[in-house]
Amino acid sequence: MAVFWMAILVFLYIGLYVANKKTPKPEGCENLEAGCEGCQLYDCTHNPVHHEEEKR
Amino acid sequence: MELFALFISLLLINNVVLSKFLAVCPLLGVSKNSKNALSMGIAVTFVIFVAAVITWLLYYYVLVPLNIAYMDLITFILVIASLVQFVEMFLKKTSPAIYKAMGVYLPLITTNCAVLGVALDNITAGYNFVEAMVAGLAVPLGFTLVIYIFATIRERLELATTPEGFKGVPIALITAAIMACAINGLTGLV
Amino acid sequence: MKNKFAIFKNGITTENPIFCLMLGMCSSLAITTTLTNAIGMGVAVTCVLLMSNTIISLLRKIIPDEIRIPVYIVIIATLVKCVQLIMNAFTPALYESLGVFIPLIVVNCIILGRAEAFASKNGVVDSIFDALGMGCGYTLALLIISFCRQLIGSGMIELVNPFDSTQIIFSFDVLSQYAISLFSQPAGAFLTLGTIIGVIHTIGNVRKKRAEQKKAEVK
Repeated sequence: MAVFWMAILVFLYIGLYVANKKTPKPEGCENLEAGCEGCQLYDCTHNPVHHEEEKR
Repeated sequence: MELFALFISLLLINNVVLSKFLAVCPLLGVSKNSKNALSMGIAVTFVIFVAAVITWLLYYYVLVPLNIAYMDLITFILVIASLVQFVEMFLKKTSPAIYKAMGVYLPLITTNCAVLGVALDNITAGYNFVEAMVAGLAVPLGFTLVIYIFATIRERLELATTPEGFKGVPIALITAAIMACAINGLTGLV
Repeated sequence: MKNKFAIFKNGITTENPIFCLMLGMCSSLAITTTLTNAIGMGVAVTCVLLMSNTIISLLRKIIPDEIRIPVYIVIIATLVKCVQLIMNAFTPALYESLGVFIPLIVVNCIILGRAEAFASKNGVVDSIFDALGMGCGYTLALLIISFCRQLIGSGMIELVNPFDSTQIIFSFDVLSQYAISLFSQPAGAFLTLGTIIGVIHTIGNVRKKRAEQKKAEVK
């Protein structure tokens, strides 16, 4: 039962995550920055850690 | 009247940042600019309120009846993360203006200690639905208040002369200490 | 073997999670009121870090690159829940005093940060050493902070057996007449951490300047 519930949640999350990544940002919002250079939250998609990998 | 006392106590006396120590990482990371800080505060308020409501409902109407209350942590974190992704996607598609103003800060909130902290505290304190809603509103407003004041102070700290080793995070923490003293003085208000 | 030891030492000195990388501040401020709390939290985080680094390093070639962050979060959440249940069973007093900060290990920046920065790119053995190093560095930092806070805040240094809270391992009453109770409160936490980080950065700056002066002299 618990495994079933967890599977639902995991697929919901991963589905929404991929869908969110695929929606383009509206015009005018291409180069918004959050001004968070000192931040260490790695799962925030604005963290510079992710930009290095996109450049590759 | 008790709800009002709860509201004030979570907003000021047991302030989430200065008294309970949650959300300290974003406090130090996003508080260089007071306008950014305000946008972040608004985004956090919205997310925490909705997340508190949804997690409370899920816990009492899904997890407890199905006897899987031990899944609360995994459920909450996945629901909060999904909620953030959903809100960001929704804003991108429907309202570019709001997305421009504060959508940038939404991903920051997924691992924000405060969201998970509020969700878990609502359960451990045994709040009913209205109290959970009040908590979900008071906690992020307290966070917004503190981060805004903190950002305005930090803007002025940039221009002050601080010892070389203390620039940046150390002096910011000491400022937070003084603010915590100030908040401490409000104990006994309600 | 030398390389592995360098990775281990890295976590303690050069890239100490609290003092240098500034990760995991929420928990380090909140629970450092007593030494027992500090050791309990440090061990819990080290266990979770060790297991999560190992699992993520083993699975790093299988996880698709796009969805790696959500997968990491799920793995870490499961591990933290297991650790929480174990702690509730075997160390109930510690579980009570750490409170909500055990589940908050999930969103502790250290674990996700090391998973992203190290475990997803390196082999299993390297990741294990990194986890041990970071965990030890974190525990050491917590011990330093809680030592200062407990000494100045209550004047006593006390360590209680986590498995049996009535057994006190040692207890020295040093300064209790001069205790400043501010340091047991939130304000004292910020003050202690800020001062310690400031002192460490100052020492680091002084060393850098001396190294640069020596280089200039050699030229």
